[in-house]
Amino acid sequence: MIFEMIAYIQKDYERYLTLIEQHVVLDLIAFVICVGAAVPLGYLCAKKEKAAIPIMAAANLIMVIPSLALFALLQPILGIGNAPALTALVFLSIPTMLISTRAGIQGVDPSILENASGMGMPQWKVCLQVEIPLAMPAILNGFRVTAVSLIAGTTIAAYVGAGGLGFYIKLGLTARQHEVMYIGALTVAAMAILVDCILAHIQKKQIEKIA
Amino acid sequence: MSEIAIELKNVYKRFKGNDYDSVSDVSLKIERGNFVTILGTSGSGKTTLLKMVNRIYELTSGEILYFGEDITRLPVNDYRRQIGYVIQQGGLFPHKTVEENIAVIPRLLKWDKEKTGRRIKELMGLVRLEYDTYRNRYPRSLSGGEQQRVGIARALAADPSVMLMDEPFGAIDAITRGVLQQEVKNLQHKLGNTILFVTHDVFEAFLLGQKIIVMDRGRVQQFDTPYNIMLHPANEFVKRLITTGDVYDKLRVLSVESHLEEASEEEIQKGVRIDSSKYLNDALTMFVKEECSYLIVAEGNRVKGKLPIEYLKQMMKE
Repeated sequence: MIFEMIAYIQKDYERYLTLIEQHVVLDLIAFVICVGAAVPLGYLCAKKEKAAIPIMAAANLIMVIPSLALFALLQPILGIGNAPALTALVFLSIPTMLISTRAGIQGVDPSILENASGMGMPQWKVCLQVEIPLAMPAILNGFRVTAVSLIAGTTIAAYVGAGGLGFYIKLGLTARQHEVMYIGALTVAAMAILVDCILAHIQKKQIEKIA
Repeated sequence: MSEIAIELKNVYKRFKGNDYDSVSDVSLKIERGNFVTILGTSGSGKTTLLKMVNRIYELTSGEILYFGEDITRLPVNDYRRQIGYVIQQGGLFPHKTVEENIAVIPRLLKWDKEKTGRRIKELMGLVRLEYDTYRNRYPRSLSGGEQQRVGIARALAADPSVMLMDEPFGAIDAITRGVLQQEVKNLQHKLGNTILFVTHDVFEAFLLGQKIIVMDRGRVQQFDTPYNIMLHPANEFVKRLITTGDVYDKLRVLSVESHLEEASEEEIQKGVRIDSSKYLNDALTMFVKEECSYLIVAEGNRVKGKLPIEYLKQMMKE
């Protein structure tokens, strides 16, 4: 099987690289949008209980929707291709990122914050220089879970016509070419593990610095 | 009469949802350069009172003046930078080194690097932390006492005229606490800033305070010198509070100068001398050791008067 896989990659070298590239680009865009939306929302939820109730309810609701179902739901609205895939991926990954951010911010010792403002630090500086750095281990935890689930989730995006390694899995399944399917699955798994290791390393560094 | 650093006029604080005032009708004048301790049990409103001074809590009604100016009219962050604030455990930023922690206020004030660096070095000297050993360390690697030293250095950074300290030594072991109390006292003496120091420890309040604010249920029960509070408690509460400690504690905080009588030439010649910076417990030890009936209190060669043993006996009976 391994030889068949290697042979297939050698034969289809260019497409293999293109698929990886598409996969990575899709994930990166989704990740950036997700972090950009979820971190401020999570911060808001940690600070304002009133805002937290509806936002957290929505986040929990999104979490129960199976990803394939969301892809299917979005298809009539956004059609096929990268747009619906990206939308679904962002939607699906926001809740975990948001919940981690909220937990991280809530975990910061309130006396440190009080001291910071007591010294005359403006609120935005307290947020950027004290709260976010101290919440970083939890936020990075959110990064890890989000990144891994995005990498895995993108494979399903192939079913709505987006690029990425999911194409190999789909192709392998439909054409009963198991080696093709394995190439897709194993590459995705390797990517997920690699990214998780990198982020775990950064997280460890950050924790060492703080605790 | 010296300048008034902080003045409170009919200050009230009621927290949202409460049907009682946490601080009720407090009016006080704190003179510049005074070391004032605020003594009370938990829930007495002492911390609330302190936090209203740097506007962490906004007052419900009344007025607080900072050198004659209504603090609500001053830009809040500029005002706070002029006031040092030290809390239990120092409230240090765990992700910043000692040096970076002390530099927080200088950076807010946009001092240049050189000035900040010089100041940090100077401050670490003041609080007796060796510059080269400690500057790059993180708070977690410091002991409680060392952290509190950094906390004090940080609060002193911009040379504040007023320092607010909220049970700064509450979580520190007794021996280190004793050392730090002495050092804070010396520092205040040297720098001459006004200190408001919250504590629930009767002994600490008496040892450090030139004046003590005794609080209970949001109200000031008595605001006076340690001596007057000890000898003339204003009401039952103050009396109960100060008699909870044993007699020996009481002697430890009263100066040998609390009660002086005129000494004759002969008594000065023959009498055993005690330095005027000592406390009554030291006097007691000397009475026992020397088996005498009076001590001559002197500052260097200057005789201030005599302290008769009867006074100590009377103190210990009370």
